[in-house]
Amino acid sequence: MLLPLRIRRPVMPRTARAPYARPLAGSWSRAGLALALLALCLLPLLGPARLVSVVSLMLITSIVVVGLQINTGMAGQINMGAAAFMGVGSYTAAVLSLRLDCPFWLAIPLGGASAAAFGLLFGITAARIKGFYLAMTTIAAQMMFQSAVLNLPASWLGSSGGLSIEPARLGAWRLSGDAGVYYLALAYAAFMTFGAYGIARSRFGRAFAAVRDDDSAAGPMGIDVAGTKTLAFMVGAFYAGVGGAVWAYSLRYVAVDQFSLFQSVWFIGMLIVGGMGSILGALVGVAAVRGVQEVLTSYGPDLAAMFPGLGNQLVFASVSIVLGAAIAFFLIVEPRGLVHYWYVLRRSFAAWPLRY
Amino acid sequence: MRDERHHFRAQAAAMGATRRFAAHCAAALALACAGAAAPSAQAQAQTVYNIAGYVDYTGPFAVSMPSFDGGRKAVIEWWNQEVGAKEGVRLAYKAYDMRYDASQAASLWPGIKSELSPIAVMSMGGPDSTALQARLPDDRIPAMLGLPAYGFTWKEGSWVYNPRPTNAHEVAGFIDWFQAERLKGARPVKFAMVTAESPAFMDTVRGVQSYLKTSRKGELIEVITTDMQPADLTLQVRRVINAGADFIVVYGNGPQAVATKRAIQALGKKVPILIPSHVSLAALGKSLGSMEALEGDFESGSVALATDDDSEAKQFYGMLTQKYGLKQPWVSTTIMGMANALFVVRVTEAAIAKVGAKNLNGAALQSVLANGKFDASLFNGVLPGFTLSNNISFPLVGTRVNVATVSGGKIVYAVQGAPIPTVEKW
Repeated sequence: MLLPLRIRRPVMPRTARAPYARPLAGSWSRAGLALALLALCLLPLLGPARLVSVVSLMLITSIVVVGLQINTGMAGQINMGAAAFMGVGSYTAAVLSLRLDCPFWLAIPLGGASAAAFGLLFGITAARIKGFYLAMTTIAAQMMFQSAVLNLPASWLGSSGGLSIEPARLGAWRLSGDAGVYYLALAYAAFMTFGAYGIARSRFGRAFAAVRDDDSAAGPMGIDVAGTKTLAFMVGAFYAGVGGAVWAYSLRYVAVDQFSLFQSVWFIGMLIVGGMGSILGALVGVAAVRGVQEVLTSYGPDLAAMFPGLGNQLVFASVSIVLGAAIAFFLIVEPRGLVHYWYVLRRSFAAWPLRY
Repeated sequence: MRDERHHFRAQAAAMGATRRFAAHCAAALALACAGAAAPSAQAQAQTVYNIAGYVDYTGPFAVSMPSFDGGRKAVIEWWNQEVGAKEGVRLAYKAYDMRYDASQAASLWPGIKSELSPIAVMSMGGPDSTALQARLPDDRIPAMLGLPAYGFTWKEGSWVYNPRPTNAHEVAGFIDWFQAERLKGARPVKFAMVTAESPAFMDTVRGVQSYLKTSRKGELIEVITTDMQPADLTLQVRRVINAGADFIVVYGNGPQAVATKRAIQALGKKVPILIPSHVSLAALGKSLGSMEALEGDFESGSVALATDDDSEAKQFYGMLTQKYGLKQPWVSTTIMGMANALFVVRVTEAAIAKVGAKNLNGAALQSVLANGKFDASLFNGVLPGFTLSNNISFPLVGTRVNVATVSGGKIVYAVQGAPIPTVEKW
């Protein structure tokens, strides 16, 4: 797949009242959000098990992709190593849980903090280079992570054997079942998403946008360009680390091959499909890409059974073909992503019956 | 008048004969119908149990998947007709694509569990095994593989079971055999290993290193860590050949084996390589353009190898192609799919004998697997016999390895059932 090294910047409002920074601008929005949260809370009680697990995975992925949105979409710093940062958080939480019997509510933020510390290394680099060179440097994060885990003594990070951990516990409640894992992921995803909106609305968020739009102009405006870029990387890595730590408690087994470069590419793909620069876009991108993956994967066996002439190979390969085509389509036709259609719909709704 | 009576009698006799004939026909038809109905009644009495199978049609093993999946399906179909029909059990197999990705395997699992209610999972490799191993004891459904095990599955209480020991065990078995047979025990074998920074490949290296800590039969000269798709290994291979390597172990993937062979050819040397059954001499021969290039090289595995010999496994494969619709070629991935399915159906059979055809579930299968002894005669030459212990999910005692080599352009067994030595846990 052609990597989106030159991402067309989306056309976004530059004011503080930008839609990506205003999740709760009106009573309709508040009601919609409340309904969405209620539906998410009730899903394990009412929905099928498969859907619960799919949404669990979407929630965990959304934590990572929202962080990537802050780093890449909002601050304009391309990051091809999100999976490595996720892995650092995952391993940290696993080690803390295994060696120090650390509770999950402490291990997860500490996982994020360790990933942020790892991100600092690349944030400093980002202050000096950009574009293609920065992308290559973040790929190095991926390589460093894998090599370090595999070659450090097995007693540290489990080497090729990985690390198994006990499930998260909340008092007597063992979060090992599908519902437990789901609520854990939902709580962290909701908290981190609201945090992302807070960052977008803060002076840091505006500094990120200024650096993204023109770092040469941002400096004379009084923005610490190097510091802002470094901070963007650290925030993005923190999010990825938290996502990785939740992933560790979800799977209860951490291995280095769970955090591959391929994953990082998919995360970027989710941003492109959803829409660069928008928190909601990140969530939409995760839902769209994961949704298509899951639908094709779920119905693949049935399709193969219905049309044996096609063969399993063709049916299953269609997953990659469809998703690859979707990413190419959005890059070419609608670089503002799926979320742009949502903004258009919302504006039309507000202006109805007039066109604008 | 007399003629008329005679005619009437003759006519009556003819009619009687016709009635008798019709009655016989009706009886024969009824018998035939009853005979035909018997199997269908038997089929109706069959209890259907679901088996979920993880496959990888969209990931790194997409090319091998038709043969792997085909091997599984053919064995299940064979078992359903030949054994299941008598036992009153039918196994329904459904494949799920996990893209060789742990997250996909994990996300699929709750849906598989709720929609399919499987009694067992046919696992494909590392990602699905690791994604499920923490959940399976809670869900009380065992997973069974057909590939070599990994060191990281060497733990207690796992519900992931494997009929084969680890790759490292299989290499250790080869080292012992080579040292005894080819060097006549005169000195330790000197060898190098080619690997990449992948958990599965590094696991093999660590296992072999663990074996060499307690064995004086081998000496590992160097571990060549390269890419998954190396361009050139001439420099590294020259170094290990100059150090006196008796052979080079390439227990990784096909491209690494090709790069190693190309390097040996470029250097004009004749040092054999050892590859695992999932790479296979036949596939490597195709990549290199001829089997002659592989003269004297080795392939090993605790499973039937795709040799040109008329082995029991090959006869079984032939029967599956003739009667049960197996269309895949006689290659290692087909054999591994067959091994995977044979393991599952034989465990199911043992569970039926234990709890009855109506009471099968995952826990019943697991009770057979824990401390299960499986004789080689159960596996139609595809797998050797093995014993599982309650603590470890793959066999450690009495395990054996097959070694194939290329002789005169043909793949033949060098040895069948060479004993695998003890390897300390790593």
